[in-house]
Amino acid sequence: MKTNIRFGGAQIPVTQFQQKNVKTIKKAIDWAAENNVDYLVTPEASLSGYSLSCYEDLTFLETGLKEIESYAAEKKVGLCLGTLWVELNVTKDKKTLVKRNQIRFYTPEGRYLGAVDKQVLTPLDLEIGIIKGDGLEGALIPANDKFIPTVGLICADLYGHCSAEGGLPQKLFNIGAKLAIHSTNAERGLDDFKDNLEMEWLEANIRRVSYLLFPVISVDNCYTMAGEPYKGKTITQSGVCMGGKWVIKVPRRGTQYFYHDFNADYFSVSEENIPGHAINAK
Amino acid sequence: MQNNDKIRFGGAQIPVTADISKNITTIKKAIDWAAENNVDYLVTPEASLSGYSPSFNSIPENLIYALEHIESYAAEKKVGLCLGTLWMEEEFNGKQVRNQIRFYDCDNHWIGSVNKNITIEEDKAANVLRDPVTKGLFLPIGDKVIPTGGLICVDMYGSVGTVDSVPNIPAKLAFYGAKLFVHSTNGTRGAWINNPLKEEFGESIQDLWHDACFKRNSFIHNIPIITVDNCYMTDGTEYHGNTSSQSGVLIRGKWMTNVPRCGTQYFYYDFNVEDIAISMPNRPSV
Repeated sequence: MKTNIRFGGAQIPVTQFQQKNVKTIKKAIDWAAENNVDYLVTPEASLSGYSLSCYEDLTFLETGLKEIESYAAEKKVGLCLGTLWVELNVTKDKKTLVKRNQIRFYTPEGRYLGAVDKQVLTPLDLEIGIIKGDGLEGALIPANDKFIPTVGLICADLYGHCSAEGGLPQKLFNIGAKLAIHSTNAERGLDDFKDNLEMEWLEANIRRVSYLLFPVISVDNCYTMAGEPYKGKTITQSGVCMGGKWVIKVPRRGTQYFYHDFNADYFSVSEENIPGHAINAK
Repeated sequence: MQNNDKIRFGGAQIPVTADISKNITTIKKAIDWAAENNVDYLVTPEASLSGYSPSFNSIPENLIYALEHIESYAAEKKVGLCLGTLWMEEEFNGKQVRNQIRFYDCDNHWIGSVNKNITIEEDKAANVLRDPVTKGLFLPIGDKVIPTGGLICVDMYGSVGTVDSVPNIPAKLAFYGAKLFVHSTNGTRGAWINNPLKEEFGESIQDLWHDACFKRNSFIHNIPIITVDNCYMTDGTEYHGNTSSQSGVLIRGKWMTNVPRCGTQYFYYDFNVEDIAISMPNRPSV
């Protein structure tokens, strides 16, 4: 029986072109398979691109997702996939399509575990028309005969402070979350001084959350938020932060892959101890 | 006022004890320093008059006396105050303990109070009630006013440690038009004394976080911050280590002062009136 579960991260370019993104993610999956990664984390909006244009052709978006899902299942790599998506919202009277910024969780066998929607929306999310998620959600990642109650935090969900919502990591911790997946893709490269302030602040938040609450696997886009090639530093450190310290810290420029082995026994809970009222797949 | 162009804000990083009479002496000394240095408004730490006592169940008789005494003394010395204290407010639904900053001009006019919005365990222990209303006030300076936001401790940061939904107080105050943040604080420090291996590191994480929040809030809202911490332990016992957060003044993400982190420290900074004050001919009466 495996005692460790290997999470990998792919700091990759997130462009506005889905075909390019599919190719990039498949390459990351190849790396993950070669390195026996159980679950691979990608940046925010890594499949769709972070712009309104991904909604111009929903079939195209769906085809891209299917291609990634099949490829990852074939390579036996679980996914924590950051992407914009559209979901069907069924109410008593009508069916509507709702735009979401989410992390989609899949097992290495390709089983869809659920998705977590971004709750702390930024101006770009609002411009795109993303609808905020609600509730305290996560995914129960299977580990042997137990589960790791895992939460997905998308960009500002981890920081909270820059919105009226805030406090999301603490709320998730209070209901039993053990591990945080943080897919991010924030603005960068506008002004050196502002970038440095932002980097310090993001760093302080990630280290604090990992010290007070749970380990954080954080993965950023290595292009600009608009999807343009970029040679500067990512605005958020990609890597694994535990107990307030980075145990994996990758270079802040360009494509970077990393992995870390977590002790599944330490993080997982048995079925009867699953946090009752929240950490669950949709 | 220094001249028509400048206004001087001072800060007193002082010991906040559980003994009100000691606090009176300390604050009077800080007022003396402020008067000697022509400070227009002096900022004191959170709960600097009352102490941050866990047994604040009713307003002690000597706190009423203490406040009156400090008010008169500051007026006599012509020093305006931004005074951090716990206080029992008579409100529409009865008496409530508040953790607040009380603002006075240099003629002892009480301008108003701002209550702590985000309360923590120490507040709950002292029966402090969280005030959900975020508000600021107008500090008079000559024929102008400074729209000022008062923030008490975690009001500045928000907190992953707070169970309640955490509003972003600096952003709200910025939206309301604040031009200056006055921050009185008294956070946990020195916890490593009992667990040197673990908690000292925890304090460095907290320090990093406080510093990053100060810099970012002053930068993104383009609002200067004057922040003042207690130099004793939160419960008022003697302490010679680093304060929980840096005291001083920040403008556009940069510290403009260099205040040592240990012991009693006074500082002041001269703000350009035109940067932080507005004309308000019909401003509400104080």
